[in-house]
Amino acid sequence: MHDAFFYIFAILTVFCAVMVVANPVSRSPITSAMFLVLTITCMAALFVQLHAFFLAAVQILVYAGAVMVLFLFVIMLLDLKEEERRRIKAVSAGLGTLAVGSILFLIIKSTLQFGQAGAIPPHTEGSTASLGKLLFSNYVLPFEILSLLLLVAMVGVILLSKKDLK
Amino acid sequence: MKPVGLEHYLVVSGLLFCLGLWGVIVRRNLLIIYMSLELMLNAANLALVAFSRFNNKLDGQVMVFFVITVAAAEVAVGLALIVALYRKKQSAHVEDLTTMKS
Amino acid sequence: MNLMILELAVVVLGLGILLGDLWTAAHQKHLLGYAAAALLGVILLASFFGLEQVGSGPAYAFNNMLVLDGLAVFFKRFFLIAAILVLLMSVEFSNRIQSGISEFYCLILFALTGMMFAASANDFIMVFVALELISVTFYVLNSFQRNRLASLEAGIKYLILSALSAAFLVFGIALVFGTTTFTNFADIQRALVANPALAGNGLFLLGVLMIIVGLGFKIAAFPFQIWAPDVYQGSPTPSTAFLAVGSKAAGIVLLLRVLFVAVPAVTQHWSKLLIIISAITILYGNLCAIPQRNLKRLLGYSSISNAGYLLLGFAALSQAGKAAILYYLAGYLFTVVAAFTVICLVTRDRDSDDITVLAGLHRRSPLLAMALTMAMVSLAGIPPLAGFFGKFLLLKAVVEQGATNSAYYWLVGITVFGVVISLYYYFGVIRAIYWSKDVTDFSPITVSWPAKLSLVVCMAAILYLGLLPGKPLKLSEDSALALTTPVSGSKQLFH
Repeated sequence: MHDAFFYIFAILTVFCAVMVVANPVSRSPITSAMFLVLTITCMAALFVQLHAFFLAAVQILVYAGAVMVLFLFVIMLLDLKEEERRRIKAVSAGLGTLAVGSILFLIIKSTLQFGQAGAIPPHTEGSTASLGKLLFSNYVLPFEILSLLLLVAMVGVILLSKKDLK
Repeated sequence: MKPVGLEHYLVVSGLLFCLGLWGVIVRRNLLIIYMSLELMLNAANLALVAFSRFNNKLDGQVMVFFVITVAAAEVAVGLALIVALYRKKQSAHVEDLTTMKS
Repeated sequence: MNLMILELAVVVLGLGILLGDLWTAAHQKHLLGYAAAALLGVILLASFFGLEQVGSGPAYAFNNMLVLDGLAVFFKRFFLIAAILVLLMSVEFSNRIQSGISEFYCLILFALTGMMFAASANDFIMVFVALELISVTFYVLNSFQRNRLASLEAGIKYLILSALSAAFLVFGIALVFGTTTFTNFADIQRALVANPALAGNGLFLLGVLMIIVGLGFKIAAFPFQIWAPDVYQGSPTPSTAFLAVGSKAAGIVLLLRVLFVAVPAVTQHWSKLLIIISAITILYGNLCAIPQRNLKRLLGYSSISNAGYLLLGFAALSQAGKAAILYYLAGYLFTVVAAFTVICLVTRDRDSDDITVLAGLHRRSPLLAMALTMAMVSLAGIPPLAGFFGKFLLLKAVVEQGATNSAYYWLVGITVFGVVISLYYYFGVIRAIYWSKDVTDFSPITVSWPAKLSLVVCMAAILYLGLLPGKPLKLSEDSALALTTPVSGSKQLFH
């Protein structure tokens, strides 16, 4: 049962990801963005399979909810119709495929050699409470630095997009 | 068939990472490149959660939490930049970034 | 808490500048830069009195995420000095930034915070968070002149490639965490000692490689250097200077810690890889710099070749090599800041960074001409300036390793070849100052006294590091002691 769920969502995730970067029907950023939302949602299902319940919720709330809405909003703002027509260059596509293919080969080969998994039955539960405890004890310093990063992002976005100069 | 284990998740994650990388190299639209980058980060997140589960350690999940936060901040700044460029140049294409000649 | 008092002070200062902006009249806002620089100076001085516990060995905090040892203190002071000089440069630049100059200062301070945390990072999660704080700040700093297309393009290019390198870094961290079950440097080192088979595990090695890719981007080493020339050329000059000095040094300190503290066993096996990357980076940077006519682009390629020189110290795998890296970086800081300060002042009234703006500079302002000449001579590695002695130390460290692997002699040959090429384009800059034929503009350039002070400090430091290397060399050797690999791996257990 669990395995069937994994295969369903894994295949869906990869399929939607392919549609994000290499959609044969449409080159429009809108379809890419919609498929990315689907990818992220399927991935949240995989997170649930891995008992990372809190992260699954965050994945949906932050990624699908906030980040992707931002993307869609910007796409609508820019109105990028005219650019759909441009073609992908064959040479760069070929070289890129070659390079990426070799990296993929490396990852999969070393993954299959790794094979230490399944030795211990996993029982980690990514519940909100356990994650929160860890976040505010061991990892409180990076957490605080992130707050600074969010401040920088806020200042930066305001500077970059405010209308008038001076 | 083997029961689903760590390797299965890692293969999915590797596939997603490489798809994202392929998108960054091949696609020319800045927004799609940026989405491909998000895909790569998500792939890393999946690997982290899987390792976290099979190593019986929550630290990987904490890292994912940080990655998601950073990604959200990065997307906000990045999209603001892309919009600023579009206002100036009426284009969101890599090939049009040619002000500086090499 | 005591261990991060400097970072806290910088954050508070940054927030203070952000708030102080509200109560400052518009025409006085650029003066906040002087205030920020002066207060950073106070923090720098305080670091000589407040951190005396460092002498007694490394101190750890926050579940061993943060380490304060000689290396961390060296780099914290390095970043503070860099930020002070860059802030002084930004004040000169303020007339070219249309709005938000105080935010510019405050972002420099926040980037500085990220760099100082990077200097103390002892855990991959800290590495990621500190690097991202630096990157996100630089997205904004590089595109700050958003009425200039070049600046926006520089920001976008940096954004895409930096995000790409971050993705590699995170995936690498995931693989290293998965195979060792740790993210802490000391824990990973212990895991490697306890289980030597790990150093041959494909997944683990792939993870380390991806982390090196992520960090290699920051220092602009081949093949992750593509962004450097465009971003250096398009960004506002103070951002470029901070990128060239601060961001690169942050990459170097993290690379030092990762390679020599976290995975020393792997580093020993990968000396060949380091040699090759170093050689190609030196050749690429120097060869591509030859035809450049834009000063900032020229310095972009020069910065790539300098990343190659710094990698020599990594390839040597010895204590002498690590000390030489620190020494070279110190010289590089003052040289590059001097060069960019001069460029910033000379191009104040025009829109071009072309090399022809230097024509007749020695008559317009002898001080600027002298500072730029010294910077170029030092970068070219001519005695008796800082750049010469730094390169000498790096090459010495490499030659000492020659007995173990003859590839090191090839590396020395390639480096000397690169230095000879670089003479050509560095002297092209000097020729443009003194021997230009079509000089049209003889109006003297007025230089404010803080800018004068910063130039004089840079020149004095370049001379000092070149002529009296004894004391600073001792300092860099002591700082590099933090990177000694314990023989059994048990030494660091009990701190």
